[in-house]
Amino acid sequence: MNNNLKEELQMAFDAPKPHGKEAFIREIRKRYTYVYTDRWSMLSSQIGYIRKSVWLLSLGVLVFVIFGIIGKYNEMLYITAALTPFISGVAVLESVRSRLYEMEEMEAATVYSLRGILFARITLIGISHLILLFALTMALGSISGKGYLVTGSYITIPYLMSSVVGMEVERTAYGRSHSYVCVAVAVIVSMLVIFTAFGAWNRFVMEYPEWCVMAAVVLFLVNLNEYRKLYNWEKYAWNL
Amino acid sequence: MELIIDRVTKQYKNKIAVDRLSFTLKTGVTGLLGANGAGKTALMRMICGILLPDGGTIALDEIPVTDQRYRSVLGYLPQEFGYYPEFSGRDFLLYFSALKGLTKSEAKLRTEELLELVGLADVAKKKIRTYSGGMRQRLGIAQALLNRPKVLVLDEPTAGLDPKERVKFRNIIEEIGRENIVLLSTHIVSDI
Repeated sequence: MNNNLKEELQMAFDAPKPHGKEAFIREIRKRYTYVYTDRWSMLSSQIGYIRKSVWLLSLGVLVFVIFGIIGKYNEMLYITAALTPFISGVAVLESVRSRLYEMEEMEAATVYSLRGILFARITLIGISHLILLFALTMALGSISGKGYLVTGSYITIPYLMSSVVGMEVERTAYGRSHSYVCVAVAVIVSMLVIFTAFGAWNRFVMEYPEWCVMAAVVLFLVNLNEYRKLYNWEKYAWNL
Repeated sequence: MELIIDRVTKQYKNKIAVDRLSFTLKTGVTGLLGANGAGKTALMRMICGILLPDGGTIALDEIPVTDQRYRSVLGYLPQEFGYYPEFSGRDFLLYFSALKGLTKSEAKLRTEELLELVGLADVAKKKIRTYSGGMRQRLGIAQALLNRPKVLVLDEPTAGLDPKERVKFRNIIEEIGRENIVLLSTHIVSDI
């Protein structure tokens, strides 16, 4: 058959539609689809999709504190304690982001499910914030005169308070329809820290340092429980 | 290939949304036609594993709806959906490709293929917030097809589409229905 005739035939007749194409491609995919869906791939699927503001805020606070220490600014500990509620407020907001942008129904029907996505987001943000709080404690502990443990508790308590209250509020009917309420909670906690920094809060830390550390530990455990509730609760959210 | 819905029940407080419903879906397109509040969305959510039934079972070839293997061959377009504000059309599809377990190279290829199929290739870089309602709906349809689903559940898929887009969409669904199970809900009789 000469080439002209071939071309003429190709032009005259459409190629037949492939039969079983989707099933064929699916079979080829199958062998690695399940390998791809482990916990690590779940985490890596989310790391690029966490808002930059979450990372930038954390980084901004760290840089601010370092500059404050270099500049020997006396009130850095109090300012840092007043800033940490915002870090956790943004984290809570990120954990309810699917709901905020009405993405949860589609995300829930994927391989990872909404629980998996939540787990990935909470884990990634939680680890980064633990590192941040540790770094802040190390930086401020050396100049605060309160020791590392009390300094760590001093800046962690407002963070955890904002996180716990924010998550509790997000679970209410009001919170579901006003997702930014966790930021309002962060503002309130921050204001409380500012107004009591040189009064009741400072006296409590100075006179009862061991209670301060204890309060931080208890709040940390309550916070873990809150995340567990959030994690479990989303599974049943559509059943409410 | 069989999707068996067996005595599925869903109750909200004192209202029964789905009452011991049993049927079997095989390859092809099946339409769910019903008035608003008839329980179509509740049933579809249960078939997608988003909503837990109070009773009964749903399984595809004996794989229960809660199994990851089931979700890996499931495509779902909800009645209403949003998007992350920073996403372009392409970002949206790449994001869901990752959540559906596609590898990066496969995700890129499939995304471009689907953008072409739903006529959004030329606006793929634009933010979704600049899209019209019909374009968003087409993007949602593309999202549901990313993982070449064996079970495709579409809740009011033609809402917001103009007549021309509706015809094109019907042809796409008809094509998919030749090899897969397609369940779509609508209150427009001509769609079925």
